[in-house]
Amino acid sequence: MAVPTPSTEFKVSPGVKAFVALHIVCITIWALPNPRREYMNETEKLGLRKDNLIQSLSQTATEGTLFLNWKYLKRSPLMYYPLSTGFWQYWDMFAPNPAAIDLYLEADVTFQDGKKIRFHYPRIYTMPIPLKYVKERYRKFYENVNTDDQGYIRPAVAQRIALESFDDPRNPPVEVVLIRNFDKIEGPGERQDPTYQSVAFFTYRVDLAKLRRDKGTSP
Amino acid sequence: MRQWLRRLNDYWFGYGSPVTMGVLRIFVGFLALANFLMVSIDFDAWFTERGYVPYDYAVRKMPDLGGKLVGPWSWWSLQFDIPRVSLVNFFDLGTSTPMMAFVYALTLCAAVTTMLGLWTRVSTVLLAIGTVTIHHRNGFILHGGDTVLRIMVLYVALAPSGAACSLDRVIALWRGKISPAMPQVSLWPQRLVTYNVALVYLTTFWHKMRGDQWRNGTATWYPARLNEFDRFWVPSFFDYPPMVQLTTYGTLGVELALGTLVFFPQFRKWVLLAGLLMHAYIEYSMNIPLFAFVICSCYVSFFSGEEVQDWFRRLGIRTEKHRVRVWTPKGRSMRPGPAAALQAMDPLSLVAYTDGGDTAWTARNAGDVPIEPVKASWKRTLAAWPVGWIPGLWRRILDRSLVTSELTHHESGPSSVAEAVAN
Repeated sequence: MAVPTPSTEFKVSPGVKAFVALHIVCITIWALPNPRREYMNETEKLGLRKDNLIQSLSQTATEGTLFLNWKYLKRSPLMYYPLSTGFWQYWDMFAPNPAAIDLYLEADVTFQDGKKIRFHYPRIYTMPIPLKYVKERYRKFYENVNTDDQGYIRPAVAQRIALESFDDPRNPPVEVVLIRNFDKIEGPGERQDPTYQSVAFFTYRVDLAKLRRDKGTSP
Repeated sequence: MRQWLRRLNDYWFGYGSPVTMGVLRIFVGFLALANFLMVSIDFDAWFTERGYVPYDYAVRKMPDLGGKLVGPWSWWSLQFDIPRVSLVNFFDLGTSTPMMAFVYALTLCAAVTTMLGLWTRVSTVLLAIGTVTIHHRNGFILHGGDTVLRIMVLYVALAPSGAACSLDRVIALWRGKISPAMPQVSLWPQRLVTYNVALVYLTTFWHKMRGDQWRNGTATWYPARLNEFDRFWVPSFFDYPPMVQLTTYGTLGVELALGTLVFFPQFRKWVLLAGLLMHAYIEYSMNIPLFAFVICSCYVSFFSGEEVQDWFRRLGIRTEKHRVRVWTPKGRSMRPGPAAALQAMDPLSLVAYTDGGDTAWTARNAGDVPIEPVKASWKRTLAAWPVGWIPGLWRRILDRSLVTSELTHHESGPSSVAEAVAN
């Protein structure tokens, strides 16, 4: 079926047209990929290389465009538009390479009397399928907690784990150690070791006053 | 050049049917409701001060918009914070659990009324503000599907999305306040949706082309092995190298096409079909809640309202064996307003109402067999499904649509619904 031609009997005001143009420019600037980290940090320079002219030309054109966008446009006052309106967006799902490490979180919780327990943060893999759908945010959250640039959230994670482990008002948790369990996914044809490795990556002294306040128990 | 500019202007700022945005509004309202209901199970963990993300940490993730910029723009400094389309900075919302719970509940209600198209302008704006507020309160748990949903909710709020497929329209038709002819609306909000959907695919393609695993054809091997994404069983031949290459390069090809070829009418249907298949496979094999549903709902924006109406018309023709004729009680006719409203609720045109000669409502199916009229009517009226099952309600609606025939003839003269609507 032919696509109907829109009617132009009515007119749209120039103000609306200007808004639409601004919107397109802003969301495009915001959604374009950032340049590679080495160019962002300016530890490596873009430019043509005689030994590999075509590849370096292509790299300079694409990375140069992304670098100029990132340096002069993405961080300009135009950024206020997507950030303030809710139109912020960045589409790097499974990119530039998909994640190749399976991750889940556990924690060792130590109580005032010296007792230790292993806390199991919700792990999607072990859940029945309907629950996986509902609880997926736990996986996404831990994916963020695990990165160093968002590691500042770890004290709050440990404090919440202490709260969830706090059953006896006379014996509160006093220390939480976050444990990263991980298994690197090997490439096609390579032998996959199914054993997860564990690393304690954050130790936290529990804020007892907040713990009791959050639990609603008096000291 | 001038002609090209005129065509561009016509494409972006022409007028057309609002049906596409009406259908998108229903999808977006439903998916927002499903999404927020799912997350609400862990409300305490995600949106309270005793949860995983106290407000101070949420602010660090999404700082206030003001002060000094960095890099070449470091000379630019704002002395005030630019407000967001978010309530999180107001009424102690960030730290107050009751306030946050109130906004969350209000957002859920707005999702329901957005889906129904009831008080559409207010509902869609409330849903947009609520969604941005919730995402602003905890940005650590958002995945791609949440971002698509937030953006679509904002577009639906910008568009005249209550002008079609909405309770607002049905009520206005019933009361005789608007004409049964579909209004013409400015299409720029719908064009923004299509542009944004294409941008999603084009930029994700660009991101991926910078990764060596996508270029060497092994990328889809890795996520398929992540236990945390595991969902349904996938046949083992998907692990064979040629299949891994096919799915890797196939994904890249489909994403590139969805960002470019989709705008050419001759490719559009096939490109969107490929997109549907790709997302159906991801939805089946990987646990990424609602992402496939949200992004695929947006595909409707690539079709004009007239085309969407035409789908329904053709679907109605294909299902004509389910058509029924319903006769009003003797001496009573449908008023023009309710007749138009009932017709608007029946996009497949499966029910034809006619003035009858019996003492009560009667109906006959396509085989001319008498059937129960009220049930026959609501079951075939697509927009009646949310309420038709409530005992007695649909009969009451039908009864209230009637007026004594003489009065109708005196007022406007039609003797059947088609005539009434045509008038």
